[in-house]
Amino acid sequence: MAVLVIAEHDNSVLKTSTFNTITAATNLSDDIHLLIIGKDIETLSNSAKSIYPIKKVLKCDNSKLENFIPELSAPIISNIANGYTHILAPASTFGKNLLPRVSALLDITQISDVIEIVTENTFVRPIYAGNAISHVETNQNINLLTIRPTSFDKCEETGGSASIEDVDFIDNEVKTTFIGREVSKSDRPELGNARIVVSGGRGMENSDNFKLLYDLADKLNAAVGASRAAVDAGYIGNEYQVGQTGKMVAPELYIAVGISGAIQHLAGMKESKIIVAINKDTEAPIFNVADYGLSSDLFQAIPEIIKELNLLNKLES
Amino acid sequence: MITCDLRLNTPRFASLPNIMKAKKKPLEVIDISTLGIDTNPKIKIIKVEEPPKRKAGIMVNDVKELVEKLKYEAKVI
Repeated sequence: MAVLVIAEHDNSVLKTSTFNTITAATNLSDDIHLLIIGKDIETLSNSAKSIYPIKKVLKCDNSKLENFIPELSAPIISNIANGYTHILAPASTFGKNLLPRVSALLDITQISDVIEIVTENTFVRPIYAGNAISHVETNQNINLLTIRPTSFDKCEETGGSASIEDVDFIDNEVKTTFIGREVSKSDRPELGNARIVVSGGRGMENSDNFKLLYDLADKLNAAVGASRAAVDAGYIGNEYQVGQTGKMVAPELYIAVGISGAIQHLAGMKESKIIVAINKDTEAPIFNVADYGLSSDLFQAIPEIIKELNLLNKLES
Repeated sequence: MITCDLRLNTPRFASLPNIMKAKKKPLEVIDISTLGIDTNPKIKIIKVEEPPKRKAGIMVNDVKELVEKLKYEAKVI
């Protein structure tokens, strides 16, 4: 039987999380279908045909679907759900907004934040902010899973030759209308899939000091993140928060600056490959998970690091 | 139904007089079988285990050492 992956995209390109979710699906079946719901997605759907593991691209193209209102998308999915053993979506805001509605329409228990697929009916997911790992088993005919993108690699984006099919748009009247969107613009890589992340915490003391981190991030071509303490204190916007209630990241290098390392913060970044902690307080719990710890005043350390990096660049060129 | 960002507002605690008043409110108990819904759990927890521990690394002495380790040992910059 086939497995369905719901694509996260912006009507022109697929988000990386979609490719991670497809990899998760390869643990379940060889017959993987990708459902793209949106507006003017002809080009996007055609390019998705070459994603290696995808056997069939399903598209639902309608002008009403431009802004991904989940009330409109959910019935489209539940309408075709019977042909599938599993329906997967990334455990991003997109998937968390959509899949529970599908699950309610089908009266099925959703399994959230899957980090490992053991068998077709056994899944592994973190509970208690990642302090425990739970193995769950189901005997449902259709399984709805949200997949934690950082736990699965990206799939091959080329080499496939999927067929393409239209699926019905269900024109239900919904009570939600889209009013507008404010997007924060940044030239830095996106927090969710940056190779390097530089995060600041309460130790940054104020929003002006975050400029130090921006300078370091630009030097490393890194994304900027923050702990909840820094966001709560208003040093930096909500969208930068890394942790249990913020974004989950797993970059190759995570530099935690002035972050003590509360368990909720660790939940969002401890899958990073290399963790560096810079903190005045030698007792800070962040040092327990850091590969490299530097006990130093960040206001001295950060400019010094930038200087060292400049030196290294000069040596190389 | 709406979900809230945790910085939406500052919740207040119920005052003691209000807690006392709340205790006097009627409490209606509904028998779940009268609601006509299937409450059998559809998933079973097989086991719960501790996540793999991340080993603590090393402390470096200064910025120079840190940058060198990142460059030549971890090879991430």
